[in-house]
Amino acid sequence: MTASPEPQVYFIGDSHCAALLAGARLLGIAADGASWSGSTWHDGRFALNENGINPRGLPQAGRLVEALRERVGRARVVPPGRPVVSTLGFHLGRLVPPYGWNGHEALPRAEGFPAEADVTSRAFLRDYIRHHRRRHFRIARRWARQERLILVAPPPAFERPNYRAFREELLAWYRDEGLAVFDPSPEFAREAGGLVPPALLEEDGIHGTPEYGARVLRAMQRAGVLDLAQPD
Amino acid sequence: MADNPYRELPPTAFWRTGVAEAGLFGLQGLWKSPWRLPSDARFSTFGSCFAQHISRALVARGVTWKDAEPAPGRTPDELARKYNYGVFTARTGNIYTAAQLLTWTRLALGEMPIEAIEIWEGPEGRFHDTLRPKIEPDGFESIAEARASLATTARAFRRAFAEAEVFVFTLGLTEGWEDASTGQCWPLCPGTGVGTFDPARHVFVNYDYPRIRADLEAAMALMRGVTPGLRFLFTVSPVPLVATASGGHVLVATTHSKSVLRAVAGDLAAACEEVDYFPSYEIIASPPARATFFEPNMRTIAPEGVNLVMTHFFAGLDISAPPERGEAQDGAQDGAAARQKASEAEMAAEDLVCEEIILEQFNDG
Repeated sequence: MTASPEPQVYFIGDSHCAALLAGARLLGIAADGASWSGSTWHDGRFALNENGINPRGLPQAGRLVEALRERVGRARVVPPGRPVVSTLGFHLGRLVPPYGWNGHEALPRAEGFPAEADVTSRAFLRDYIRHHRRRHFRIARRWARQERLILVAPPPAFERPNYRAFREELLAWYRDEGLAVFDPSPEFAREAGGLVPPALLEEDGIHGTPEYGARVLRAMQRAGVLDLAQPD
Repeated sequence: MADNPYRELPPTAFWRTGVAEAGLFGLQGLWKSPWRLPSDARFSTFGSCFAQHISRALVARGVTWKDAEPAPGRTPDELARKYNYGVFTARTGNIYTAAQLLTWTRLALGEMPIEAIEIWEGPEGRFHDTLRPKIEPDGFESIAEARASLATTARAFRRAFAEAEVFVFTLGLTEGWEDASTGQCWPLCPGTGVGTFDPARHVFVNYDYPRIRADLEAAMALMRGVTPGLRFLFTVSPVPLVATASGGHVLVATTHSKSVLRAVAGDLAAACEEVDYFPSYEIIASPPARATFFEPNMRTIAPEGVNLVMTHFFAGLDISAPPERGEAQDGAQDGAAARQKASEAEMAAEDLVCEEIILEQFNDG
């Protein structure tokens, strides 16, 4: 086991957490965490207990969390007052595409409705998301009561149908619930297309690089969302 | 040779043998479709509330029911029901009158602009499309949203007759309400649930035989202009009126309404090869049923009655001809299936990418 300083922040979520963790290390922040597949997060294969969030029925992910426990030297990974950053509830790659299977399109509220496109009402979209994310939100609320949880939306890496509308709805729901949630999109608003520049994306064009992670973490610190000060 | 024409008639032509002795559950040959349809014939279904039973029965029997406006993929059934997806072929809500059917047809073909349909704002600040006031459980959040949704359904309604072989329409009412200035018809009287009643604007209309027939003929002509081979199967809902604004007794008004609708449907079926009439009204509301299938409110039809209606429907339906569309089952549904397949492949590929990113956690090099 490698001896390492007590992490100032933890990253536990889907594959997008990996870039944030790498970004933290790039910034010299003591950080640790574990990530496992977004599709299993989407499927609700996780549970919260007194030791924090855990994968459920996923041996490989379970080993990751056990290794994290060994590294920090305790069962409850995140000590009281320390921030834990997660992507819980987003996992857009599994949530968004089925909405478009029958040709439906949705835009962010301010952009109205795509011309000649089949639409659902915003109320339907909200109910649709709430159906598929009910368990995620319930656990996010409980998790936030137990630990200092900060949720982060995935990188605005591409323009695909319906993604921005889903992001907007999810962010609004989290905010309405009083949870701490950060949207990286404004940080990249001045970039071409309002998207993360290719240089800050992995080859897959979906995930951020460590440099992306670092930029987002700095933006979170500037916005006061991420405070690494030692808790009292 | 028989001494009069009745001697050569089958037992079903006589009340005693055809009805009285047969009994309600022994009725035979009430309907036989004049058409031998291909086994992959697509049925679109619209009309008053009774019509939704036909949609469900077609799906349950594996007959191709055209769903021209499906809910988004992976919509749970409960949510689809809440927002009225899958009830009729398009999300029109109940179409009670022939005038409403003609309005939908004109909207679908662009003969009438979407903006011609009035949108009501409720006291709660939500907006209601007057052609389908209850399609959304809580109304729309803006006029723009109501219109975008209405346009979506109008396009789906066009697919309902452009991509179907049989258009099933259940006639429900003769009574309706219109806007005195624009002529727009409404499925519900303003003020009954949504909208505000204005006696200067909101005019009661009891559509008569000539108007109903003219509206149906106009709608059929427009649809057949797009799909020349389209067939129409009319039924009349046996569900009595909730209320009448005619000034008469609701029982008498119901009989008048159903009689007119029945006469129009029957006459059109007799006059046009592409039109047929299916007797759902008679199965439920005629003497042998002795009102058996009406719930205690004497209006709602019990499931057993619906089952009996659909048993006669499928007994008379002939879909024994070879399929006509071969591999290409349905343009829209094929498109949706292709989109879904491509999307699932993309999601699987993305999962793989995510796994690779995650596996990098183990890379200490």
